[in-house]
Amino acid sequence: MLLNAAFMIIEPALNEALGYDYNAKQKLAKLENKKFTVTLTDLKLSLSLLVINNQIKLMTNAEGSDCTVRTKFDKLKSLSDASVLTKLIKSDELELEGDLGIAQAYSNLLIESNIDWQEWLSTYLGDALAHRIASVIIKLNQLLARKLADIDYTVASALTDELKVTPDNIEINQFIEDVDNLHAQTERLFSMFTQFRKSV
Amino acid sequence: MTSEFKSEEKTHFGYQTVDKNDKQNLVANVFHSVAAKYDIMNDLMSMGIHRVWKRFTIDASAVRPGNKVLDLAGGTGDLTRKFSEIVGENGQVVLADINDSMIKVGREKLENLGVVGNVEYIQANAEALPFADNTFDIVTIAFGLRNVTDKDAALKSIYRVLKPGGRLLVLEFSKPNQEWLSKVYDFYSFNILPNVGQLIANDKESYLYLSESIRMHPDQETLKTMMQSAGFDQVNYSNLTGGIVALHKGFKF
Repeated sequence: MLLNAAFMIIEPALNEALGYDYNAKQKLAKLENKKFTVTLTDLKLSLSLLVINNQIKLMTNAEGSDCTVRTKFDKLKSLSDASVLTKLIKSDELELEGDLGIAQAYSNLLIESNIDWQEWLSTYLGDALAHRIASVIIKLNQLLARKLADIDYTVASALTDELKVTPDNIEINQFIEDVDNLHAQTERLFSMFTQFRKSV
Repeated sequence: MTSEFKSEEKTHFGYQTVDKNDKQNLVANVFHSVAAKYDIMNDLMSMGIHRVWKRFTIDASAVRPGNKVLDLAGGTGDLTRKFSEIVGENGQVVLADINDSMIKVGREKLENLGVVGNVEYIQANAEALPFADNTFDIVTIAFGLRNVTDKDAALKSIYRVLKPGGRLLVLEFSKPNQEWLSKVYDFYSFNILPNVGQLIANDKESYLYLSESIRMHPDQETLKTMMQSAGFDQVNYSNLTGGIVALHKGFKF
């Protein structure tokens, strides 16, 4: 029942957001009356999506689904990567029943959506403020992406350069052996020196 | 023989015992009285949770486009509205209620919301439904069965109008499954609810009847047995909000 309560908030928000994706209408039309279900076997949870009148309905009932995917929660992320699907199916980590095209079409609708957030924000805050906020967010996003790229580059080059001057195992073992030898020679010299002093 | 005869002619109206023939009119009076404020009272009484219970019912119905649905005791049409969206132009939803005041309120509300085209309104008694055998894919009765005089007759009548493979969903107040919740719920039902009814709908008696009728309604297991006796298969129920409400589901095969 908690999930149903959550759906009462998520469903209208999702449909409103998709209303600002100008390609969504076309994608939704292709999915009209098509039901797609993801069952998470480890959580014993089902989530179904059904498109009715260009609106997504969320439900927990998997009955009558046109395409059902059964997998574990941690494999959920792999669903967006078509190249991994076959591997997961072969290793019995994912079970697919029904039309794969429906799963791909839902994935395309939800993951590759292009929602015009600025337009959405303007309905609440007005055009000017929405534009400023969107500009700041875009700039922050770009800055963050640049910083991340910088960090990536720094870490990658540091690793590569350090690797060139880092001694390998044989060299390290040789060095340790040399230190041990030097230590032993020093001990011998010290012993000889002590004896020499006593005899003088 | 005489006492047996008498008990057959009597039934409950809340905590009162009344003639079977009178219950229908008494219940009708309650709903004539509360119809105008029904929706706002539902939200107040349940703190909005009735919307989640109804959504859960729609979910459990597995309704699909093109289905034919009977929303019995449909009242102000909350379930009908959702069903109408899903069944689409090729499907049909029949909102049936024994009370014409409730139908009027429901019809006006749905028409104002633009829910037209695939919805029909019928004044009908659940004990003798005016439909042909095997007509509906889904029948729902939400918060209505406890007001029906002869529940067994109603369940048999519903069974008759369902198509083979069709399902009945009974959403109804039931028995809380925790002792502490039961006590809180009793206090709320008999001390707060009637006073809220008085304040909002100027009708304390109707809301006292509501609390009493809930206590007189069969518990989860009894209703399950009643549905099985009426012919339903694979009957099961889900307790909602700790058993304050239960959704019973049964199939006709």
